[in-house]
Amino acid sequence: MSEFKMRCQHAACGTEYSGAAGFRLSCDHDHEPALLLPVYENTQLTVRPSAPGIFKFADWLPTNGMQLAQSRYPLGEPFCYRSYGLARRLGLKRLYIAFSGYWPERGPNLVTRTFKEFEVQCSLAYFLTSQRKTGASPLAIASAGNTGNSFNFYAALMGFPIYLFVPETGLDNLVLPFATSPFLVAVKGDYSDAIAMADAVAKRVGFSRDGGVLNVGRRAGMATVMLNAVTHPEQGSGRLFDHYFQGVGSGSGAIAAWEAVQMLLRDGRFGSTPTKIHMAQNSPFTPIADSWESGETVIIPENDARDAIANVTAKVLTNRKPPYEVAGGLRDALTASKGQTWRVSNQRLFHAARLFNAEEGIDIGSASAVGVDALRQAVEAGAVNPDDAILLHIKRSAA
Amino acid sequence: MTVAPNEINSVFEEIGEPPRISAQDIDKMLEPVTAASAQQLDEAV
Repeated sequence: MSEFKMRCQHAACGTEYSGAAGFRLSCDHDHEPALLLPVYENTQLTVRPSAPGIFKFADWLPTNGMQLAQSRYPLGEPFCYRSYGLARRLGLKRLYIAFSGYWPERGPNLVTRTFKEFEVQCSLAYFLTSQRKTGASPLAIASAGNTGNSFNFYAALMGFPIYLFVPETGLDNLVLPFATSPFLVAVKGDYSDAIAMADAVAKRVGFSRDGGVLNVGRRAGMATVMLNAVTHPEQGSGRLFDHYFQGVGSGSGAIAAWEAVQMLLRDGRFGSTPTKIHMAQNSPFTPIADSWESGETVIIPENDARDAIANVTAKVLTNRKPPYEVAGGLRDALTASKGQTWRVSNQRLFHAARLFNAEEGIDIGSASAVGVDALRQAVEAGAVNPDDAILLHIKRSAA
Repeated sequence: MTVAPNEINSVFEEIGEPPRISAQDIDKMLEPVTAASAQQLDEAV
């Protein structure tokens, strides 16, 4: 099994830390914020089809050869298929859909209905492996709903205590097929208020924080969507895609996709195409698109942000402080991949969801519909060509 | 429980003394990744 290091992505730093040296979210040196990038000893990926969930890709996961213990529910795993319906409607010849949701008739088996299952499997395994000698304090998890639901699911299966902080608007996302008993705090406010409260409680009480986008485990888990879509012998394309589309809130999934592309490029067996990463947001709340297009980090004033968020359908895409400037973050992913950002209105979002249902036969969540409409816009604008290989990530199903 | 951002003290009171997870408990939550059936991708794609 592959050993790993974590490399600071600050341009003037590059310090490497052993992956076996414990749970780490940041560089020790005094410089501007930077994500750590996991660097694996095995530069060529060996997939283990018999391993559960995302641990098929354990060579490129920061869990030191460990996986979550088998439980009464199978661990969710990435799924991809080639589209013909939506592809035909959009005039595309090589459209693949990474479907991260619950669609048992077709194959996808995520009982929490979102790709957050992948980041939680890996994040939890990374955290637990780093605490094996010392024991651990509970985790405080702040979530707009989907991540919290997945943490609640896997923590319940493992018997690990968690403390969930969720904005009131995210409570409807906490749906599981069995009863659980997390310590749940519904915060009157938005996602950013839930993060602030989780931080304050964790600091005072001594809980661990999973670190969000700073956590290499979270990003490595989400990166398996791209790894599967490229490498799976039946589902995948067998080569790197020209374009990747996804609706984004914090954008950590898009960063993870770009990190996967870089590893696959180094692997060398899947071509040399640096996949363009397309990020889409639900207007009127579009801080990532605003920042990218203006060339500077846009911080939306709090009251304006609250008003805008109140008018957004895809509430899970409303992170007020996405990791835009941080080294290795959104700006770097957009720049390095020559990516683009897109804005999607509520009206277009509903059209996109209906279009997807009509062509692919399943309801998708609003955040996923944002990605679908971004692809439609890109086709109209000529930003993608009919012959391009495209991966559209449906990050959540509706049911 | 439902709280406003300025009501954080009520969260502290509700939490009380938090649990701690032992190293032995953690070991039960993990197992080595299945090594069998590794698939060489250059054969698969």
